[in-house]
Amino acid sequence: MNEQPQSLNAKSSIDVSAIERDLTSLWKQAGEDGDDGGIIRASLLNLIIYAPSGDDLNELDDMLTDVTAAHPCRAILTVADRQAEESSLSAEVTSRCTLPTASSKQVCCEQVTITARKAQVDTVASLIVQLLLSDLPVYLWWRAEPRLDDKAFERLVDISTRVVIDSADFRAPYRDLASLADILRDNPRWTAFSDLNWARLTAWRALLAGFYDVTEYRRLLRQLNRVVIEYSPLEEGDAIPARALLLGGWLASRLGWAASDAAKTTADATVFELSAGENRLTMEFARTSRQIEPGHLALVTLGTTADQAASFTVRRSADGKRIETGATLGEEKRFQRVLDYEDWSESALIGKELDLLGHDRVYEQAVIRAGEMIARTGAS
Amino acid sequence: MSSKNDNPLREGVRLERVADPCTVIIFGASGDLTKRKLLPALYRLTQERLLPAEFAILGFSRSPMSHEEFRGKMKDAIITYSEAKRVDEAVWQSFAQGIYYISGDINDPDCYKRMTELLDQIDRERGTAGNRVFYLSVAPGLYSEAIEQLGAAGLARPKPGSWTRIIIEKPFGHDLESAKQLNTDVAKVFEEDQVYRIDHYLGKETVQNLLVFRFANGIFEPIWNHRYIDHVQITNAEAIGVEGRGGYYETAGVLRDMIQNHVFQVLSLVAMEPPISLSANAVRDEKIKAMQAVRPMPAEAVAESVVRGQYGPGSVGGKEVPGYRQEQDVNPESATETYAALKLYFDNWRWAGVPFYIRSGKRMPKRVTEIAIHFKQAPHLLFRNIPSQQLEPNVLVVRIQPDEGITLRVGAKVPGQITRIRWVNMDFRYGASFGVSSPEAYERLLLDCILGDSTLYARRDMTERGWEIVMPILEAWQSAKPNFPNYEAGTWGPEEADELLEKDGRQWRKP
Repeated sequence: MNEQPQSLNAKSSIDVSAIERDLTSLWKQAGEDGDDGGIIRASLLNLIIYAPSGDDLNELDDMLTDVTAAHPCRAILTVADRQAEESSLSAEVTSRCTLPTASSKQVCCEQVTITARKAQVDTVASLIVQLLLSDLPVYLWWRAEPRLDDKAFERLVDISTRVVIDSADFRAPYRDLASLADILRDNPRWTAFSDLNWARLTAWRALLAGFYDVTEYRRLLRQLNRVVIEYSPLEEGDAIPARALLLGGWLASRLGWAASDAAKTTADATVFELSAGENRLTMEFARTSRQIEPGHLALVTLGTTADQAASFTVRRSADGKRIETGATLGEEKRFQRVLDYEDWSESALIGKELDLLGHDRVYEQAVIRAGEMIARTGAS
Repeated sequence: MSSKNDNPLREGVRLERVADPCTVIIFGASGDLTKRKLLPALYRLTQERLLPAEFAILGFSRSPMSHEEFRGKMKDAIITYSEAKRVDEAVWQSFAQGIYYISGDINDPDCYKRMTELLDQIDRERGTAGNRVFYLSVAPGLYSEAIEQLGAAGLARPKPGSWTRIIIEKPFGHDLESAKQLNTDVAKVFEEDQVYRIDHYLGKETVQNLLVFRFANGIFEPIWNHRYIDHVQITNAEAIGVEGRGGYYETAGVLRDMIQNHVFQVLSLVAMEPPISLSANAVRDEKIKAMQAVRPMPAEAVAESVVRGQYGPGSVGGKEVPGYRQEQDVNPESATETYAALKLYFDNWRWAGVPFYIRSGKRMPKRVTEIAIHFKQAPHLLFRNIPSQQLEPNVLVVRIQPDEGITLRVGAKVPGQITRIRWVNMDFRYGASFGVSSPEAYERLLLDCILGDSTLYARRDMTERGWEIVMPILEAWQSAKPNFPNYEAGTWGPEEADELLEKDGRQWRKP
């Protein structure tokens, strides 16, 4: 896609009508600057991006170019600088134009960048609400840990239709995932939540689910008694990464498993005892020795030794570029398959989230169940 | 019997529908369609995890080849024709393990015996569960023989707990009689719900969007009738010529090649009543109901309501191009039409008195397929002092290709002291609002067939109805020699086509 970002340095004080005036002027100028005298302005949604001041704004800017090309919107980038010496707000407007095909007109959408400093971070939602395009869904891309004691978070979530977070960025996975589980459990009717880390699990979940689309294997699903999830350890700390916990939470919630005892932790693994009625099983989170990006999954095996020994495995290849699946029934190996591993960029993942509306209850239940498992580790 | 719906791991909004285990058997596996479309589509569906691990492809054609040789050709095809232009070797090897090949004569019963044995072997090796899709991508003259042989070999009847389907490529018959004969031949062997007659037009995202546009938006349906609509124009224009297919085109012409199938499918989606559900038969019931209302055209009315044309030399896109009669494998005195324009009426309550003007042609100024709904003039002329050219009716244009989208033309006051009206377009463009690429039509259609969804395939009655409508035209044309060529390549068709509308006080849009 041929991208032609176009920036107008229209600065504005924090006066909503002045921002709207700047936007109108921006569109007029963009229309006059267009090669054939015209542009298409399109808006599918409002996208609020909350970026703490430490965020790499250049990188974010590149991502927004990709995101807005696929999802034209009014983007409201909010840079939050809590460490500033004085409270203040400032804003500027920019247009973002792309040329979908060489022969078509430019498609443009608009961006308002607000910098909120110190105490103004907590009140910025009241400004943003006035800038939203009416009747369009509001997505909040929250690039920080979601915490209910954060007023800015609570207020921005309140005005949003959907919140997108990335639990891969959680600095303390146990604490932050447990906090998210509390939010989702206690506020089931609140705004819908999305998680880029959950979206990264879609391929793994689809392949694991695919084993049991086959009628012959489906009965084995209820006989599972061992799950192994191998992950690459985080750069800091011993905690199981959020992605592995989400996958474990997903399996547990879908199959009705509940953690029954305290988890046992060794140097290389954490093992949970789970039960579903009479059926008991172990879920082992093990560190992989393979060189895979920190926090990523390396292998998932679902196994049973009940009527017939069987195991179903999804595995990242040694070089990380492929994903391999295989089933073993007794001694017989079946249906080995190798597929390309989709390593989606952050902007591509965000784009996929912007296609979704409504609650993802499967995700919410996975987080809640992961929170229960975290409680069994004794971590606070 | 349990289904994938019983799989608790499948729940949720993100995991897409996945097909049953199955084998796709391609007749005509060494042909162009297999290389250009079918294998790239199946490879991509696999990479998108929409096909299960228990999946196989069996190629069948006359050329002797080993499994390995066929796999090698298919690998080249995927590299050449897929978007990615590359395959990862390990990923390819995994996919290739599920590709098999069998050679033989399509008329030879022994060949089907070998095919049966090989399919049973594939079921054992690949876990494909006896589910089969036969894809006929061979010369149309071989369809009936292939189908009969499949029946005789017992391959048309699914095993208990399994399913068998057949996809038949266009053209579906050469005329009404041959279409009926082919349908009869098919029906002797396959039940109608096993038969998937492919029309790749229906796999296009924007054609599918017609259903959404009409029936998911409450504002259009109340005005989608003769009270508010003056007339409808459907344009299906190609800038290309016959592109080396002169031999085939000589036996077809635009009426057979485009109008009786693709354009009529689009027409039925515009004219149909709301279906009671989105099930395949509910949608197709309404489509055929609409087409049954098309007013029969007696032979004597053909000259009045239909125009045919053939392009002569000209220029398209700044390039000189030869006339149709100068194309390869074309008779220098050919009477085959490369352009046709029709005026049709639907004799029902919704469309009483509303003409549908349809045109399709080759070597037009540009490639475009669109539906233009021309609304009636405002009932009371409030702006009496405005020049009449400023008082045009509203037009809603649904563009199918390229630049897919919807445009509504509305009148607005030009700012100033006096009242002047200008017509402005309110545009919705797919490319602008949804910056994601649409799946290839063949991907969607193949997946639908494997999933057992025939909504986007043509039903028996629809194929025959298309021929019923065009047969009087074809018969009338046979009895009179046309004065061809009658339009220059790179123009919008013969003058008579303009006159077809001018005599009704209308004119063609310039898309």
